[in-house]
Formats: sequence, structure tokens, C-alpha cells
Amino acid sequence: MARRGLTLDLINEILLRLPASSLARFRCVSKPWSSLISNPLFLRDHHDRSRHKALLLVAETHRANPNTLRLSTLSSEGGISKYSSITVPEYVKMEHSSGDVICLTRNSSVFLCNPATGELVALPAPIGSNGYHRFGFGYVASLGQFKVARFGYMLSYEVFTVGTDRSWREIGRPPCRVDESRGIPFLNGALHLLPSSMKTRQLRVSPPFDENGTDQYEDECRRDELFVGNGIAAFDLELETWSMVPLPSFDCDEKRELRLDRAMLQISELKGLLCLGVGFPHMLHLRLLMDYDSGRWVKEYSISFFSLRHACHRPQVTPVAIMDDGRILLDSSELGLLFYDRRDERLTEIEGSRGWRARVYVENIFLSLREPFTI
Amino acid sequence: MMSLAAQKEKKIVLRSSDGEEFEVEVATARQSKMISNMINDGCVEGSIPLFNVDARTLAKVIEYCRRHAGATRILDEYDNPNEEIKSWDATYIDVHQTILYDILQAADYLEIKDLLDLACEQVANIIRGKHVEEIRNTFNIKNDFTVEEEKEIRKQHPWLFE
Repeated sequence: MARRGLTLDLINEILLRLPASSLARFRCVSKPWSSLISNPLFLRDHHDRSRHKALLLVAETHRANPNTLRLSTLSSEGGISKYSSITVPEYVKMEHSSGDVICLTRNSSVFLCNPATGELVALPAPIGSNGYHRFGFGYVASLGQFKVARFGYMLSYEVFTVGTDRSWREIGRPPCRVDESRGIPFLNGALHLLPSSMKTRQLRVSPPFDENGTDQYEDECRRDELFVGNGIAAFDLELETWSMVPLPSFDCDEKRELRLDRAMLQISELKGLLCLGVGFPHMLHLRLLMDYDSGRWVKEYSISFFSLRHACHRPQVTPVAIMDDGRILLDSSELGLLFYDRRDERLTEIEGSRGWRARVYVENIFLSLREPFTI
Repeated sequence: MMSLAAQKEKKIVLRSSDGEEFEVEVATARQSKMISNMINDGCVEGSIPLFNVDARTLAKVIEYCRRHAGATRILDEYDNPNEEIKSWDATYIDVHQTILYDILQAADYLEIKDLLDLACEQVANIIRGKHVEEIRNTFNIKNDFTVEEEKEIRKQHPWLFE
């Protein structure tokens, strides 16, 4: 017991370090505590601090029990502890996390979920179409709401504001033809999509078309380029406009492998930065966009998969998070979850993690998806 | 400016609220921003009276400052506290709650940021799972809600009170 009463300043310091679930409960300790915890400045400080204390959320779905999404947290040793179970209407996979909200998808179905409260919001599915959509989503601070965008093969590109819109709204076309299957990370207020590879552009037919069904991008293509546009398309979720972020310059090996279609690009978000992966057979190069405005890319990691027991020719591997000790957590549908330590270049598999998805997660019990939310 | 060697030899005397005197190295004393400012101002002749810190707490706080002043490599290559100091801190702060709150208040008063962080973190870990009534007891807080008001708050997130 505190012999002298602690000052409200010290109480403030202590409460900032508590998880959101404890705070929500401690609002009924007393009136001073309640007003401290409800203070917008306090909530913002707490949210900023939680960001640095992110958890790793692991989602497991079983086809045998498709209506239950089991969520657990992952420790830095690879241990799992139960977090919660979400009842979902159909078999879904965790696709993205904005931090406090996760996006669950399957084909053209999409749900947003706040794991801390169990709130689940289903977005309208397309009517009468067997289309296959990819989704991106993010929080728009000026609205206090989430927006979800969907991109699909032979389909128009659309956006939906959660809590406001009743149907999807079509958005303008990107500055270059994009490949929506290589990751749609959200950062700097925008969703990012890679340009289509020149190699596959003949095979892929993406919108837009004009009224006559003519591909509008034809004249942009230059045969000697690797990609249809020399940049990453960025869709600003607040303004709903497109811009371009430069791609890095690739080294000779990468260019050769990309031309031969033996290497593939992917993008994701890693520690708040745009992360570009070049996946070779048995290798993955990761670059980070250190300075978004000047377009300065730095090659940070070259990860070799030769050492793995289950030889995997070209694993689809996404970096999820950087641990406190510098290791990276990787997520792969073929290999499960892995830690990569660049100090000894070692990969450590997490036992039994095949089929798991991991994303960075920050608990937020105050957030409601249907209501505008600002802190 | 004193030379480094001279600073090393010079000692500072701290006097606790119950009158006990502690002689400490300048580097140790400088872990406290308050005392460091006093050293810079040149007002540390004689002993520094600390009216808010008793001898038991001061001894404990000095133990922390001495360890942190003497640590050669506090941060690793990723700017995180190194394992050795982390585990030393963990053992150090694993104390009875009354001492913990005394350390917390002393760290706040003496402006020792890292120790304040450590103590706050420890208190947060202890109280995070507690019931509302336990919190009121721990911090000597009187419940100033009416029964209806408290019920209203609990209704918003009922599963948190199970």
C-alpha cells in the first residue's frame, strides 16, 4: 500500500502503462480516475505508448470449424497464449491489421473486426459476381473512420467508408496498371499496390477500359522496362486520389531474375515503413523505404531459405514485425511462422504454425467500428 | 570545469529525511536530474538535505544509481538495454510493495527517469489484473461514485468485471 497518497501525475504515469482492458475497468475506481482515463490527452498518450508495445496476434482457422476464428498472442520465444475467439459467418483468413483492427477476408467477402471488443462488421458483398477481390484498409484520422478499398481482376476498383457508406463507390483508375495480388499495405495514409510486371501484362486484363472495351494503358508500355510503370501506385484513402512512389533500382541479379520471371515482388509494411521484397528461389531480399518523400530505399535483409528442413523452392514469405532483439517474424502460408536472426543468419521455425497468420496488433477497447472514433 | 579525474574522486553527501548521511560519487549522484542540476549550479557544498526521502529508500535508490552509473554498456547495438542490466533491474525492483511505492515517489522527486519508468512499469504489472476494490485499497482511494453511477460505468463493458 502506498503510505502517502500518490500524486495524480504519478497515477497518470502508471495508468499509461496499463492495457486498455484494465483501464476500462478502473474507470469506476473514483471520479478523479474516471476523468483522468477519459481525458482525450491521456487516451492519445496511451494509444501512442501502446503502439510501441504491440502484440503479435495469431489467427487460426480450421476448415472443420469454419465459424470460429481463434486469436492468440505470440511471445518473442514463439509461445502462444489464448487471446479470444471470434464467431464469424464463414471461413475467413486474417488479411491485414491496422494495429487495433483486423481485416478478415475470403474471396469477395470482407469483415473488419476489433479483437479487443469482439465487434465484427460485415461489408456488403458484390451482387451476382464471382469476382475475386483483394482488399486494403486503413484508418482515416480526419474522419475518425475506417475505409476499405477492393481491387479485383476484371472488376472496377471501389472504396467503402465503414459506418457511413451503404454501398461501394467506384474510385478513379491508378496511374499505371497494378497487380493487386502482391500485397496492399497501408501507410502514410495510402494503400500501396505494385505495378504489373511487363512479363505478365499480356496475360492480365485489369481495368480500366473505355466504353469500347479498349485497354487504356496500352500506350504507356515500354518494352525494355520491367514494369508497366516505374513506381508503386499509392491510393490516398482520405482524398481518394492516386499518386506514385518510386521503386528502388534493382541490382543485376534481381533484374535478370525478374526478367526471367523467376523472381517476384511483394510489398508490405514493416515497422511503419514500406517494405519491398524480391523473392528468388530460396532467397528473399527485403528493402525498406527509409524516406518516403525522397524515395530512399535501403536493402536491409537477404534471407536464405536453404537451411530449412522442408525445402521450399520459392516460398511466399511476408515480413510481419521486427522483434525487440532485431529478429524478424516472417509469415508464410507454406512454411508457417519463422523468426529470422540476421546476426547469425538463422531461421527458426515455430512448431505447428502452418496455417497460422500473424499480424502486429495493439489492443484498443474504446474503438467502435460503427461510430466515428478519434483520439 | 573540473577534470574528469577530479570529478571521479569528488564525493557528494546526501542527507535523508531522517537525518542519515550518504556519501556518493558524483557520477552516481548525477543519475538524479535534480541533484545534477544542483551540481551544475555549484550548490552542493556540505550535504544535500532530501526532505522527502527516508534512509531506507535513499539507500535503495543509491544502489540503483551506482549500478547505472557504473554500467559500461547499457545499450546494445539496437539501442535496447542490454540483457545484463535488464535482469539486474528486474531483480532490483522485485521488492515489497511498500518499498516499491517509496522508490516510485523518490524517483519522481529526485527526477531519475529510468528508475521512475522501472517503478511505474512494476506497479502497472502488479495492478493490471486487480479488481476495482483492490485498487481502492492499494492507493487509499475513497469511492466517490453513487451506486447508480458505478453501475452505469460497469454496464458499458460488462465482461471486464467478470
